Amino acid sequence: MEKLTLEEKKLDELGMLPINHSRIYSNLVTDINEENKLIRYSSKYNTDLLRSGKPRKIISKTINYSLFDEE
Amino acid sequence: MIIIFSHQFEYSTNVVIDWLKKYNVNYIRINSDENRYKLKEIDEEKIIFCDMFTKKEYNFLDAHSVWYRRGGISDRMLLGDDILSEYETNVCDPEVKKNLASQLDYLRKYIINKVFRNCSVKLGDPELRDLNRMMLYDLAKKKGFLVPNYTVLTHTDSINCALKKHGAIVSKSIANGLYHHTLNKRYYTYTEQINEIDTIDLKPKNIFPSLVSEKIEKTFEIRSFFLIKEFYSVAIFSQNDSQTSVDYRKYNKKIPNRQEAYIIDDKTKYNLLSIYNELGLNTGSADLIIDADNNVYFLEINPVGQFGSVSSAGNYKLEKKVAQYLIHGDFN
Repeated sequence: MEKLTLEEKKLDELGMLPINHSRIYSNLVTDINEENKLIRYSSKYNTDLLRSGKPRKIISKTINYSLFDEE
Repeated sequence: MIIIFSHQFEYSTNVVIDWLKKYNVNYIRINSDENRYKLKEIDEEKIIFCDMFTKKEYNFLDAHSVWYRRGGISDRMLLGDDILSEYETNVCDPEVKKNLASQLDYLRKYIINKVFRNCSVKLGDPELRDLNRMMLYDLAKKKGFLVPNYTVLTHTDSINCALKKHGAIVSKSIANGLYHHTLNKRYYTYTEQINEIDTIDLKPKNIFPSLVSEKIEKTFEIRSFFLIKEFYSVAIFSQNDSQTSVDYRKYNKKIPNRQEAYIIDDKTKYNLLSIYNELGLNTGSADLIIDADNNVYFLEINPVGQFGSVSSAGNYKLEKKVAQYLIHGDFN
């Protein structure tokens, strides 16, 4: 919960949404391709798994060097 | 052979598979959110799926045991990547799309039903994966449980009426709560308390039908996992933490709620058992609340609920019991 952000709406501002949507929690997702690097396929479990049992979720981001070419 | 219907990242399935490996039993895990298996052929005696990794073929009717944990059979498994992408991009007419979707649904139901009917050992039920919360409240009441009084509101005026009637109310989703992700955010909703301050200056108008129920002041709550004829329960002391007091799923990871193995009383056991029997379910997770006067309130039954925390907090080794049941049809 520590990393979740509360997005709160007054009941008047809900429009066509039900009351339980007045408090919605969200968290940021980094690039899904970067997140996928944390995942490996396990043939034992026939499924994708996180690489570590307790992942620290520190992701090495890929740098696109072409962005710096113009500088 | 054992067939397990599940999802990717479903942790309890992994632990059950650890036990199946230990007992040296063949199994197939079907994740509805991946494309490992593809339907090849169906006739009266066989339902052949091909493992796209190993190219090995499996007749699902060879299975003696099946566990419906979650998920099911996806469109991708029935169509394959090429036809699926054509189906998704080229079929524009909504009526044609509806007709094709209905054909896929019938096929999916046929496969799962036939596999379930063919197996002598079955755990879970794909037909009952989503129970209707309000119908379940009514059923629990009929079976002798106390259930928090609930109201479906359709107008802002009725929010104040519900607050006056019940004192304190909580909002819940009528179906499943929101769990949605976009490209850069994930969204969740929980059970939330509605306060009088929320209703100040509220203009009278119609609203989307919204479920609210009386807030029960709990002394603790119980999560009880049902497996065949036995209940395995833990008491969760979530009431003293403001983060978890209304919904314990807002986990406090710094100071987790204390959880202890708990034996539910015979009356509660009997009431729960008669709900499971009426539904025709042989597994599920029930949420209960104990109030200050020791009354037991029924909150919900989730047929595909998580049981990993009940297993570890209560030291029940539930995953081993599930594996033993899938292999032998009992717990020996």
